[in-house]
Amino acid sequence: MSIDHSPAQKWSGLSDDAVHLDADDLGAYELNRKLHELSRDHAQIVVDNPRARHNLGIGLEADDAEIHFLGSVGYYCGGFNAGANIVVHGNAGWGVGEAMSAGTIVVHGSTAWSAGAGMRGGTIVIHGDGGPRTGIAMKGGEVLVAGSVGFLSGFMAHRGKIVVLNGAADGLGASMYEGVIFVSGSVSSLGADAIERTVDANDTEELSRALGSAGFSWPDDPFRKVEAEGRLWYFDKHDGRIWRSI
Amino acid sequence: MCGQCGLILHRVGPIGHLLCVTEGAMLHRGPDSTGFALYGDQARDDRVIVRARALAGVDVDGTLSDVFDTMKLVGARLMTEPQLTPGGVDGGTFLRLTVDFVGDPAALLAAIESAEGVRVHSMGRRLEIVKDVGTADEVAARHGVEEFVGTHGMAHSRLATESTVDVELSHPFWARPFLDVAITHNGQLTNYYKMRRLMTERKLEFLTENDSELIAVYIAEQLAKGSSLHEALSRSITALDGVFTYLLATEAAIGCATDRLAIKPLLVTEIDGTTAFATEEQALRRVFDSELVTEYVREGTARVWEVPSAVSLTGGAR
Repeated sequence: MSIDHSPAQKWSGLSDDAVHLDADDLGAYELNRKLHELSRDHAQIVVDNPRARHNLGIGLEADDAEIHFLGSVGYYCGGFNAGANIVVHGNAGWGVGEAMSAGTIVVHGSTAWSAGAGMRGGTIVIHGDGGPRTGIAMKGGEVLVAGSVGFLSGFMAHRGKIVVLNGAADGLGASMYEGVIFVSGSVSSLGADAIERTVDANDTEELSRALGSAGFSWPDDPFRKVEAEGRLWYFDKHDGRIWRSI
Repeated sequence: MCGQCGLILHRVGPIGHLLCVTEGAMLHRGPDSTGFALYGDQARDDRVIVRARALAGVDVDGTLSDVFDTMKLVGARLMTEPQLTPGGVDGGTFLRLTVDFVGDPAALLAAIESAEGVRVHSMGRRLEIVKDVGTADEVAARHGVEEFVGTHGMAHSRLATESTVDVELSHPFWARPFLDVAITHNGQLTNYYKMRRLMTERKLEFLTENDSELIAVYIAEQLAKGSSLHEALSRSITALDGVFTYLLATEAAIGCATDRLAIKPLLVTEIDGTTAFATEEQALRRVFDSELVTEYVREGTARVWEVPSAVSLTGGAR
């Protein structure tokens, strides 16, 4: 859960030409409005002093803009993101990237519950651990996690991909529709209707691309592929046991 | 919702002010009422500090005179003039009594509440609970919380869900009649009435029908029987049913327990010997600088943090 605060690591990737905004001077509404305006004309915007406040960087559209938050952010950072590239130099609270449709969110720390909840597209990269319900109800896009994920990750996912390099807590992939989870490391338990399938050559190629895009190295343990078996898609009284396990 | 926070200072300091700033950041989580459980630095084994309220419409002078007479019967004597503060929206008069008393706290409690319309909010060698309808800033200003100096404490902003907006139903709750035990809680119990029936059979008593008060009494009973705080908190995780993330304070420690899903968040951070807890990270960052490393308390967890200055204070205060 801890973040490396060594000076060399801190605030990496910032350009000298970046525009700075001090979050201490602005309410959430004002700050978001300024981010919308500035992201149309500037390649890089740096937000100082986010202090884990909620609702930062909501609904940004400019896909050539990069927004850096210098510190932890609160709930729903990057919600409804529609193209911007957001970098969080700290932890993110609940629902980072909720309902995003495009763009990227890179979190250099860990995330709380429900990262990428209901997202439809784009990519979330988590360098630390993902909390419980990571990728809940996602409908597209990718969540890539260098650490572990908490319980019920991938719960009711419709589509999209979750890649986890260091294990998952109970109920992984419970009640999924479609979508896929690749996990390396130990898994406490699979959720209702989740089933392990063979990782094939296409999967390996796809994983190489995904890990490369996040800058993650290939883990030591082999990947397991988790999908929905499909027994919850239609009701069959013979499946009573699995329905009761939800 | 509801927002709670706690602080253990590494030495005696402005605990009231710091809790007020932290809790003030979580107003959006519960605007109905705010309360503080404050642990002062001046403990004496023969002194009990009582925080209470005379309800609106009660004749305060006459009632207090009756209360003091009844207190004498259990060997309790007022050490200083009672401090009276007018209440907020709900009215009434808040009382702070400093009492010379060494006997059974239940007897003192019964004596004070024998007067009609008097509700005791806390009794302790060091604990003082201040709670009222209003925001953290309003309640703190009305009751002088900003000036309170001490070692540790908790605060809570309430969004009333299971019961009405009311001073006595605000957090923190005191674990009556156990001195110095207080709770703040975020959640709802689903086995409240079963637990209450079993505890009532064991002659335990409650001021309200609030589930959070029950947890406090449940823990305090076990502490009185010799369990460690960690043992009692751990046991509560399976004994209680429902949603709960709570902070429980004693004279010497603050502990927390979460249910098996911990959907009510709680973060903890330790910095320079000070330990801080809050429902939201942004509240902690109001008090501490941005280099803070925070951690979510995991699901199904019981943890305890000792108050570093508590031992020397209780040992040398007489």
